[in-house]
Amino acid sequence: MRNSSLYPKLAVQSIRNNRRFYLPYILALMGDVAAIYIMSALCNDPGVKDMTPGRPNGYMYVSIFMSLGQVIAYLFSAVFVLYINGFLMKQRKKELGLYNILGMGKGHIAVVLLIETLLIALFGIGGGIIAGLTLHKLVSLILHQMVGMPVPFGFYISWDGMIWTAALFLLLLAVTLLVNLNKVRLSKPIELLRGGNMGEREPKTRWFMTLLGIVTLGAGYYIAVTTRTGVDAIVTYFLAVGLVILGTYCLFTAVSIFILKALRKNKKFYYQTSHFIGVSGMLYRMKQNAVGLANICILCTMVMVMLSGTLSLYLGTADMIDEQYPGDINVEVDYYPHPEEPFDGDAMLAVQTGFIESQGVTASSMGTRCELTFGAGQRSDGSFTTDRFSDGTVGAIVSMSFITEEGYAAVTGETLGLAPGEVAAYNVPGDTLTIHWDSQKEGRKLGESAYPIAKKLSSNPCFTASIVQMVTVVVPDDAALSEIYERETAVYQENSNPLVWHAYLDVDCGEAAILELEERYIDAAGDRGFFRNTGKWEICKWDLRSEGEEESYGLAGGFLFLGLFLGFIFLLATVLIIYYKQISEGYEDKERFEIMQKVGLSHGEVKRSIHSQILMVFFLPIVVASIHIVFDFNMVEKLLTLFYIHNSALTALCTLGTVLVFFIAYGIVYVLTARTYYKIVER
Amino acid sequence: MPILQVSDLKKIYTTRFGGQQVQALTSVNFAVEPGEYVAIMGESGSGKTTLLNILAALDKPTSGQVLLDGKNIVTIKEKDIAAFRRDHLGFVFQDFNLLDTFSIQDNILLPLVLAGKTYKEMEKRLLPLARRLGIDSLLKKYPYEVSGGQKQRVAVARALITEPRIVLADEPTGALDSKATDSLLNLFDQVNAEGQTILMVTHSTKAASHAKRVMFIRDGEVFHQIYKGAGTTEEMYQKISDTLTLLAAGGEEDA
Repeated sequence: MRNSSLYPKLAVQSIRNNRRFYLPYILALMGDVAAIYIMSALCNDPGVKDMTPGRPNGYMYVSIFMSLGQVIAYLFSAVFVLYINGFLMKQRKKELGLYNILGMGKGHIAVVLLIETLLIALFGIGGGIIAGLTLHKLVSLILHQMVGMPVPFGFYISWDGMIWTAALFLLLLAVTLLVNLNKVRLSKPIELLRGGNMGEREPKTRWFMTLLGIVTLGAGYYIAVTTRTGVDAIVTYFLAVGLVILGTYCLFTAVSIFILKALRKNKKFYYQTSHFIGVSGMLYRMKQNAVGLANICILCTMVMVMLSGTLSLYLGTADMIDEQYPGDINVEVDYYPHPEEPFDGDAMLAVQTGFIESQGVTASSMGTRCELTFGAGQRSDGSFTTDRFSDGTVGAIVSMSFITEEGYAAVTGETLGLAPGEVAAYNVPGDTLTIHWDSQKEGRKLGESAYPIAKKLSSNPCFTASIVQMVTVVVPDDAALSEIYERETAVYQENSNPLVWHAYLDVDCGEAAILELEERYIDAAGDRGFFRNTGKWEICKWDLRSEGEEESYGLAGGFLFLGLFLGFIFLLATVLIIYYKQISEGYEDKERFEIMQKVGLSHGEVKRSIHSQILMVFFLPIVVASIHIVFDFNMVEKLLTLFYIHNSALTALCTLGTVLVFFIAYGIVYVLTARTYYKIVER
Repeated sequence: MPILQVSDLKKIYTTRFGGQQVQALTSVNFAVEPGEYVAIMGESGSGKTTLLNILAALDKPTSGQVLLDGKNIVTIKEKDIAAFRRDHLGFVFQDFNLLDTFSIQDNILLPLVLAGKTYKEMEKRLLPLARRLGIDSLLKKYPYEVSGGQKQRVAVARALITEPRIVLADEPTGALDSKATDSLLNLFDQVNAEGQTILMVTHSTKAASHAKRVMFIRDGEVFHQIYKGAGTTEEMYQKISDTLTLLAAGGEEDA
């Protein structure tokens, strides 16, 4: 073909001429590709796998999260790329129409579009892969810091990840090309030429949507605020999120218009210079941008929830570990009371410290305690029943732990001075602790116990790994504990829980040495006679703080990392949507403000008016997002209890910090993109 | 005293990359008396639009002065220009320049709102004016719901609502069909008969024939003018046609 070089030239030229639109698009594409490549490379890094054979650790979590995150990230990228593509095509309608009128057939336009897409793919995907390869190592090092993931030497290239990422994005771009070709095929050139210049209809007040928005938002908020436990939160979270998302769309599309129209009805208010232009301008902006703004709002909310939640989890892990492991080693013994050979805690402690000392390591006890834990249902009157599924208790299942005052003093260092028959309690309403000893079997009722509560505890003295609400009761002595054990056994019979004895030991050696110590302990404990004089018991095991740390940080760090990664992708999308919105607003406003200037609006007034409207449009989503966050806080807090994070103050601080940082980032993006807007309007 | 006095107006444009200078107005002199209806005609590039932009205070001349009620608008400070325009001048444009985000009523009220008038005052002026222009039934509608002719009437209402000293019209019939053109020109006649001073720039012989005086601009100068006097619009039309023919033939008639 004689002019075959014309098409590539046209394609290059049109991308260059439209670089204001295409450059951010390609950059965002690069960011997405790089992020997804890194995620897939992290899933498969064989070097890391080899360094951690078989043991549960941070990397395991990272690997699981990344393979999940990849899918979310890709699905999101797909929606996002299609959205931006739609916007780009709208802007370019005129240019394509001109080509058509100047004598290019639709087939020729298709060739130009194809070449353009290939160029975008080359830069976007190619650049993204290169960026991904470069940043992969850096990300590995960050992960090493966060979750203790080992970093292999050398430079790992995940060919699989690269090919998959490239293939998926090529597919995505191919879809955009098909969408565009279809648009061109269906259009008449005169329409292409006219482009976005359609008559503007006034937005209608949509009563149903307005009402729906208020109701769904209210319901979502209500659920979020009234959720009481972590388990409830799992069930209701997605319902609440769904309601709030629906509510947000209605809020932006219908409620906003309803409010603006009400303002317009108020003549005294409306017919003032600043309100007049502002209200009517906003009315149209909201009509055109409602969905976009709702998208931005939801994205912002997601990013903030994800970051604040995962950050709280990560930062709260240190507290959780301290709570769970008062010393380097937790020794845990499960036992049932035995009349002839009762379990002897002091002897057990002596055996344990004796063994450790025999290995040349100094051990010191951080205290011991004995506890009994079983599940119970809480009735509406605040009393408890061992028949968890009796009427009125379903959904209010608690985990009840009983410890002695001695054990309480050993852990907290405080003395309570309880009289016989009295208790101290955490998380029990009223002045009396009442337990109905009802059995599920055939509805047997075995009486009830009532203990006056001498002191209410404000924090849980007993670390119990439970996802339901925890109730902790301190009883005066071993006799009282035994009594409760007897009653529990009578109810649960063969299913009754054992008593659990804990000893917390601190040792003066490093992590590696403790691991060695544990191995030698396992060898030694196999000997008959090792546990001489300790009485009868079921299980005795060591739980190492270092292992708990590794696992917890692996989980929390993995989550935080995923949060950061998805947060990055969502933020990228937010930034781009804001940017494109600014541009399209700019082109529309240009004409409007020219007319106003002709009719007698001064330059300064124009500028002020533009500024306030744009400010309102772009800060509305993040303000609404922040309100969402406030209501969502309770739920995040409850969800975090599932990971044994109970530090509300820390969570609040993390949330506040995230919102603040996000506002600043948003502000910077706004200022940068607003410059483009002013350039368009004032030209 | 004339309402508008233009003397020795000169405008030179310098092209963006320096050097090249284009003389849009060489030396324009004329005066408009209160209650006059003046049309300015000229070919594309004759300087009509430049002249109108300067009269509208949208552009500054290189030299010369424009006195509106004896006040030189060329020397008005930048920050006062918008207020000056809105208080003293009314504008009618070829492409209507109505804002699609406002109802017809709000489009008409726009200059008053910008001037900070109370809603009571706006109401007092709006209804009589809308009735006079025959658009009182359209007030609640939106620009996209009315015809071109109606849009231009709305634009006229917007120009008149501030009770300006002079209405500047730029090709007001340019985007209208012949019926709407007739109707608009009759409206101008009527408004002028009520004492409103009008200055119109146009290509259309028909539009110009409604004016009481027609000025021809060529090469940045007022080249010739015709007065209607006691003559009819048809006679005026003929005179303008003859002049245009003469101009096209390159005649060197005296101004």
